Amino acid sequence: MRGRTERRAGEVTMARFCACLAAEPGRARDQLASMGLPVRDGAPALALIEDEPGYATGPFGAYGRTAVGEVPLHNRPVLFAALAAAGSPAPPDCPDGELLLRCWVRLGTAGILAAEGMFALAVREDDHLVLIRDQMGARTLFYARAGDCWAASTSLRALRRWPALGTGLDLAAVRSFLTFAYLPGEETLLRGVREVLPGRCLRLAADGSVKEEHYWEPAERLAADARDGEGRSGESYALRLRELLEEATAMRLPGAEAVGVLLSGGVDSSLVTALAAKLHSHPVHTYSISFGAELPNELGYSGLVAAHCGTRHRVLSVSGDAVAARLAEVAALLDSPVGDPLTVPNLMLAEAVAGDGLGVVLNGEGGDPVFGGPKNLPMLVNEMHRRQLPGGEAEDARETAYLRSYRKCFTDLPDLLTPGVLDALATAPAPQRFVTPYLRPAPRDGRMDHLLNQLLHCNLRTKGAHHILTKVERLTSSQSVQGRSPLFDRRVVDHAFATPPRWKLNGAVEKWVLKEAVRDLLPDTVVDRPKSGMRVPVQQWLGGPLRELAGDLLLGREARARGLFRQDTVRAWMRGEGALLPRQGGKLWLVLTLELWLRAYDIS
Amino acid sequence: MTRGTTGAEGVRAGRRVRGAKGAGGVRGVRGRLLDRALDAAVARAGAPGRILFTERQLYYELCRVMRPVGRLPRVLRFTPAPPVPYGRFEEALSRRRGEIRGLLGPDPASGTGAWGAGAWDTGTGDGGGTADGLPVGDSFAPGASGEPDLYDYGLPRLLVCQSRSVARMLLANDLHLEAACPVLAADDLPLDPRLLAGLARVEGATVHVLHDASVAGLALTARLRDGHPGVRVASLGLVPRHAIAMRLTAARGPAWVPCEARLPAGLDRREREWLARGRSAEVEAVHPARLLRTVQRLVRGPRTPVHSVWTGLRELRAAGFMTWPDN
Repeated sequence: MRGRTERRAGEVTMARFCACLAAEPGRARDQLASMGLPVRDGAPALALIEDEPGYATGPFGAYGRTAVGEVPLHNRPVLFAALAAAGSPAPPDCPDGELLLRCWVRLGTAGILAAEGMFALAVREDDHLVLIRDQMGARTLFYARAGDCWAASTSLRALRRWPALGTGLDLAAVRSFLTFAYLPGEETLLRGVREVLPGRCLRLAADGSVKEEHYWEPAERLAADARDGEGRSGESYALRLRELLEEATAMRLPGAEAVGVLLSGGVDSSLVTALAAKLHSHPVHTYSISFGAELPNELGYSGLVAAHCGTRHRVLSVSGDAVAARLAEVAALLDSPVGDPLTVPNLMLAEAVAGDGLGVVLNGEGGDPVFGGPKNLPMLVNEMHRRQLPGGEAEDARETAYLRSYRKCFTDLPDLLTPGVLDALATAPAPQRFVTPYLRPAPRDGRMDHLLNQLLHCNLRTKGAHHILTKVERLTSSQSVQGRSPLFDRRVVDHAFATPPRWKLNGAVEKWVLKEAVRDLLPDTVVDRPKSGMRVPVQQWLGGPLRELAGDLLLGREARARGLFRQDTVRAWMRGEGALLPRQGGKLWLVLTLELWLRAYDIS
Repeated sequence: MTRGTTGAEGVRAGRRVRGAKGAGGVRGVRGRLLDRALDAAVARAGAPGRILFTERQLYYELCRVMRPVGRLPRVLRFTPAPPVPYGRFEEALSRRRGEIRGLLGPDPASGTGAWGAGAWDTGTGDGGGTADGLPVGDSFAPGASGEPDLYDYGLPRLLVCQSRSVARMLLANDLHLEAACPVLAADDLPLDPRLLAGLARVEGATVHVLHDASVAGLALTARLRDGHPGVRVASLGLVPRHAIAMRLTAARGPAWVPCEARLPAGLDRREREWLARGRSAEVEAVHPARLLRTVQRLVRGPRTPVHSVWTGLRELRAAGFMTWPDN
């Protein structure tokens, strides 16, 4: 379904949005103006931030409310029908942003829940500013309070420019980033700036109060007989999933134009390719990455899938030199850093898609966090052993193990951070808090009883929302392309959590139900092969084309003056020492990413 | 299974002697040299990173500090005797004040800790404490979790260690997380039926056995195989050739007559002679970092295909036909 905000690459001026609220309307407009944004006299303090890559439109109005938003919708007919049923039909040419606003005003959170899309919306209602984020976190929205005024924006850079805020570096967020390789919750690296969490409506009042409404959260809804290990067969869950996958893919296809698919060769991107080829009446272009023939890769599989599905296939070669040349540029594109070595390749893929004149590119993101990809078994084993482990009886033992299992810098923090930073963090809230709601859920509605589902829930709400989706959005938007993720469709996710866990991790077969759902679409060698993952030559890059850059950045005057990292540890890692397992490259990548981001945002 | 004590010259069962020749006592030059060597051993045992190690691993590290056989040419293959008696190591340990970073609590088998769920080693003895928070004395007790699905999935691998202290050390260093592999001790056998069910759900699932290069250790694989018919069991070692290649500090026990023990057929003449002379080497004699790296690689790595050029060497695999580093 082609929405009104859909556009071909480069068609429309890109923008983010910003909204302010204060008890005095003039004061809110002054704050917008202080950020260098256009202000209209007498109008609500809502503005577009031109020349920043994004899909913001507005201000627009409906039923006396005014809003700005980034709102690509995938299921417009459903929303028109819902409004008509409520006695408030919307005009047929209503743009996506206005359509969502009408759903909100007339149907409340039920209207938002009915919307399938990628949206962030700021609605001005009397003395309130309502911030709405989509269910999965495909769009990102930040907010802050300073000088008796609220400001909300889809651009962190805009809030960084807000003089009243006077923000600085949040050290707790630094620790979170080094632990996860992204920021997993409401934290940002800017002190005082928070992120609206997915599936939430936040009502900010002029008096400074905040009311949060949590309108959607995945829930474990297993049939009673499924809990006993009986009930429907795995095949019946796979059949229903197949229907949902087809619908999710179909609604994300563009109208009368070709579509791109990022094809790694794994089962997730392969099934999206196969469904797109099956359902789309226009050409399907597929794109894969090569880091060099000498490295292990999945190009054989991606080529096989492309041939099987009859796509127009391109393989992009990504050199270490290209990564070195563009790393700083990518860091500046991300509102929160992502310590993923695929960021530059992802940007180059988006460029290739845009260069081919495509406006929409699909991806296979979401299969692992939703259907039980790798990395769950270690946590299951850990739970078997928990009472025997150091700290195993501690209340947050499971969360701590989860952070350790991430294999980032969590266990290195005492050696990586300087004593001053460690002292400052002694009383800061611990990063375990980001995973506690999922791994040690309180007895509340929606509590997931099964450990595998708890792990998937955690992955969906942390990595899914704060790493995968935000990275896709920021990097594709920079090229005026929309990246869409059918496997993150809400109904697909709901079905995943209504599927008994044993059909997701069946013996040692990961994502079993997903594989069975598409078995007829793909060669068996693609469906049944174990996941190998893309081998990114980080260590090779850091020892070659990135060596000089990393040395200058991490051991240079600016980094030393910032005083975050111990130079001896960084030097040891650069020599390939100081770690039991050869993961120094990945750890250095995080530090390098953070340093580049801090420079891009001019944070000392 | 409990490991027998070794000869008088050899290594005694690990036991912390607190207050022996307490701090402040008169120390000779030898004592000061030993203390200095122990300082170096503590640093080396925990490197790189922040590896947690057992008391016996620290002892063997001290042996390497005092007799650095690793610097000798590779062609010289032997297993040195301990350069310092365990008792003197214990005395030096008791003289240290403050926490020894990386040192795990006492092994439950030593009887120094309460053996039960929820017991904690506070590590605040007179002679220094332990850096970990290991609950002391908790054998594998599945089912502690409240989640109903914990044992519903497949287990591609499982590790059984002859020594409980080795199992605890591997767990404390997250081997179970890194390798997605439950780690049990020999005295946790027989395997819990739920673990067996998990292994049965994965084709080619393997129970790996990590044991000392000793008569008792070599017998463990066969014992496990006999007790669990239908389960694939593979030995990781140690076997004498590993101990010799790595020049591990080896205990000297009484000689024995080979026919008294059931030895794997894959051992060569030199290994049998080594055992017959009463030699034995413990897993804890391997440097902690090397042990962690090697065990993780072996339990995760591809198994030798059943139908391969190596098929005829099955007996060797049963005896620990795995690749350990040479030095």
